[in-house]
Amino acid sequence: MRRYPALYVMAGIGVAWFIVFKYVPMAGVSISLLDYRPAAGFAGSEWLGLENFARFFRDPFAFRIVRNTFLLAFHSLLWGFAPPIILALLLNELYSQRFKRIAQSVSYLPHFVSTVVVVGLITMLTAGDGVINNLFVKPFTAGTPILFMTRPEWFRPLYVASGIWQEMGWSSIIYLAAISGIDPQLYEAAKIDGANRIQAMFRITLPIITPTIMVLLILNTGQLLRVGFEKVYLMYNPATFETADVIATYVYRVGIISGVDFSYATAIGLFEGGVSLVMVVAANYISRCITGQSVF
Amino acid sequence: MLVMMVAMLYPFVYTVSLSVSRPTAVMAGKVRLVPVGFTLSAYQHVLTQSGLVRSFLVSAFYVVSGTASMLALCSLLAYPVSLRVFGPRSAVMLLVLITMLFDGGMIPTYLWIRTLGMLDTIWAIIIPSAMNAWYVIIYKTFLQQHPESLRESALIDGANDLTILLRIILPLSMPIIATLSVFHMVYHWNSFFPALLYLRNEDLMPAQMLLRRALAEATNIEEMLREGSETLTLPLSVQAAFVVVIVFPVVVVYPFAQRYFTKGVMIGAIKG
Repeated sequence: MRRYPALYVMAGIGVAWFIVFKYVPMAGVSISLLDYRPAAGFAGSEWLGLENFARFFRDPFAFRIVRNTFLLAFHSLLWGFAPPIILALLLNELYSQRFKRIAQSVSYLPHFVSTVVVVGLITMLTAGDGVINNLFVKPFTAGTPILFMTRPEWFRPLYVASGIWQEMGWSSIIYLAAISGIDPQLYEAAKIDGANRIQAMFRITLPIITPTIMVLLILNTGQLLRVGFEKVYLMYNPATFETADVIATYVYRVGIISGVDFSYATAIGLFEGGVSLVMVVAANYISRCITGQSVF
Repeated sequence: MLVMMVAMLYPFVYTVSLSVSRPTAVMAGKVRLVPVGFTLSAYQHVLTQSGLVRSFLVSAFYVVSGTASMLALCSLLAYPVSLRVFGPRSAVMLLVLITMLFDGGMIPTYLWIRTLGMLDTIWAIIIPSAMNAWYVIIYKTFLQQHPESLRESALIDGANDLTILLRIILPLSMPIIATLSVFHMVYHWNSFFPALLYLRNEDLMPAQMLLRRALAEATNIEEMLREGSETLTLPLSVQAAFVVVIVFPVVVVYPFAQRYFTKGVMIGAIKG
């Protein structure tokens, strides 16, 4: 402290930021134990103990939002896991470096487009007079369009498909990195032994990147409950609440929109955070046991 | 591979086509890939009527000021913790790392921002997002490449730590500064959730909020149509023009910024 006071001042500013904007809200979850009224403050609010959590288990919507959160995440993981690997393998097979670079750039681009725009694109493509209806629906239904965005049964497919479209290229980077670390001598040896490119892909590339695939699979499983608020919020509407309403959006409606039930909304958010924390830690533990790799 | 690229690009091409086609052709569903007819009336509509230009400037302001505050705060924290002579470095890093696992969640954060009186001010957009554990970790990891003798020799020459940070460390750290800046700029340009949560004042709304509203109106219109009402507003081509205008800056900057993006994800991947 005496030797380099300037360093302490610098770090102090950063630490203060973390305490103010991260740790105080963390302490703020304690309002889930109260019946918090902003006007009354902490001291004046009624103590409820675990009542807010118990109330969640009685909430008629609890099952629906937990199920929707879980299913959206599960389907995203299930359908979204293979495409980046396939993309990376295909990119790796391209002869022309120039074309490969262009292909990579194109596939990363959707990642940098905002969620609002992605949802906008979905809305336009699936609009009543949009291209999907014109090409694939109207010819078979005598001109009646399907209004995809208002149909509960279409919410999950649209959510998952657009997610794959947006993140496939970006997620392939890590597999490409793993592939580029493979010793080229292996391929030369395989070639001399008479293997063609397809065989080399399945017998060399794929087995070598399998550990990477495993680690990512396990880690993604840990993220299972972390469905983003933004995209669901932008895509859903009361007509699709049945399949679209997730925990985060419910918290938003209960807490922010209604503007009174802060404590209950906090309790629901804390429930989600707790479950996903357990899943992350468990996934990390499994990863360490099986592959010897972990994040922390 | 080609098929995949086409699938990746098609939504963009379709949108551009919608935005420049004749509205009548759009309504009749004739636009599939290439524009039918050519008119800029949708752009004219978007640029003159919806307050878009203003919100564009607001967004640009958030991008610039947000990135500046991010760099200032992150540099101040990453520099000390990258030095071995700084005693509490592991304690500070632990404090930072914990925030990767736990957070207060939407409601407590909102209430706290409200208590701080930041609701409906630009600070609510810029400051709470200015740092996160991931930025600090990759920044600190980069700074650790510099030998500590660099700092020692500067100290002997009479420089203090602030001078060292500004005159020696930052100029040597341009690659990481560029990477973080690019990420943060894209984040600010694309973000709408903080605005949704913290802002009510129309004058402070970023462009993404306007786009969201335009699209939400369009969905309501579909519902109205389904119920048989014939009021027609905001046609598809106007929505499309809106999207094009908002994506445009990202697409223009993208080719130049791309190498920083990939660099960033690599650093992130290596350090978990």
